[in-house]
Amino acid sequence: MTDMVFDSSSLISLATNNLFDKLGELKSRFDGKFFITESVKKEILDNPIHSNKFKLEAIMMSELLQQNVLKLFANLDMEKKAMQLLEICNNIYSSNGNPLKILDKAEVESLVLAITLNAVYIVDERTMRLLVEDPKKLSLLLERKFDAQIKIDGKNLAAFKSEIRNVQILRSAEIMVVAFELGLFKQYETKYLANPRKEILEGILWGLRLRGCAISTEEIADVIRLEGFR
Amino acid sequence: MKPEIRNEIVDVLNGSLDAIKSDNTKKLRDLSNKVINSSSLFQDENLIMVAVITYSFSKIYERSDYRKYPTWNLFSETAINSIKGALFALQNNSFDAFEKNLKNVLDVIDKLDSKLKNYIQDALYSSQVARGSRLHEHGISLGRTAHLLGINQWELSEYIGKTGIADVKEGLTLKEDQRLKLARRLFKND
Repeated sequence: MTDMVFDSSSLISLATNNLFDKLGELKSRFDGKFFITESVKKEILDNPIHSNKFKLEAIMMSELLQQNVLKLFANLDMEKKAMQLLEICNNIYSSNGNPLKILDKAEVESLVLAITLNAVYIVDERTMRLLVEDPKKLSLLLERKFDAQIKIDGKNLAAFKSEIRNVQILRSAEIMVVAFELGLFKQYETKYLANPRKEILEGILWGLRLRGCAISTEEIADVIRLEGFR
Repeated sequence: MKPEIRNEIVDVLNGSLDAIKSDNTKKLRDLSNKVINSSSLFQDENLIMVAVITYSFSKIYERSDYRKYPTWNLFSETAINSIKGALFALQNNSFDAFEKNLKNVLDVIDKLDSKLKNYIQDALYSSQVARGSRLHEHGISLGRTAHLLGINQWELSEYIGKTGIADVKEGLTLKEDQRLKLARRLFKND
């Protein structure tokens, strides 16, 4: 049984696209649990509930917790481990002797939880995904954007790789593509759409992308092609 | 404050004064963009604040219709005097006075007539999000950026989604078929 750990970024993309009901439906077909950390709860529920703009999304998020679609995982030991890993992450890259602080504690906490539970990490945010999956590419990005040589601390990178082991990453986009494949968007296949299935899939992917999921235009085109559409 | 940060702030504030006096809003925007690199590198709150204020000034001063509001002069004079005061303080290594002068720009907003107050508050908040997007573009994570700018990730995600950040070539890692294969396996759809 595999669990999933959701970062704030993926839940925000799902919330702002009104896709929580699909997440709930997917959960009922999933053997494991969907976890969030206390910091993620704070970002997606406790903070926006006090704003006008994202209050409704926060309310809908609270229902996911109430219905146990999402489960809160609180563990003090994890916080300590997250601080240690954060220190490593933020000392991997440097420019002219200045370490680049690229991640925040809440993001690393979710990563630590995914590692601890041997779970799949659901993250729409680009920097974390790059660091986990291709730290060299992140270095190239930093070099290009800072227009400076970026030094990698080999010891810290090795420590990071050893900590994260083989953690696997998905984005909200891939999860919703599976929901699409499972027919969870079937009610939208109306006579008013010229090519309903393709348009629904494009709508899902572009909706997520335009509200924060770091999936490229090229990747969206790949998914459309892989699903058999031209 | 590190000398390189101090020098950069002095340059930007000097340039901003010239730009405001000559009504050159493009120069204000360019100055703010210039400071983004070091804001991402040093993540110094004063440097970030200067980047945000300069960018918001570019947005505020380009709207000539704001100048018809009764308290416009109060805002503009406070802005100019605060920059002058901040510059003087920095040149004399008086960092508390520097911060106090920058804060004056924010404090005067409460004294403005309601419409201008709303416009300027909006411009400041939008500038925070816009500058946040540039920091994220530099490779700083969403959470870290939101933390540094004091904004929420919701606003930042919404803004970033509309940029081309997701399309940069370095952002591609696993192939979609590999990722979908994993997703299908988890939901027993393979």
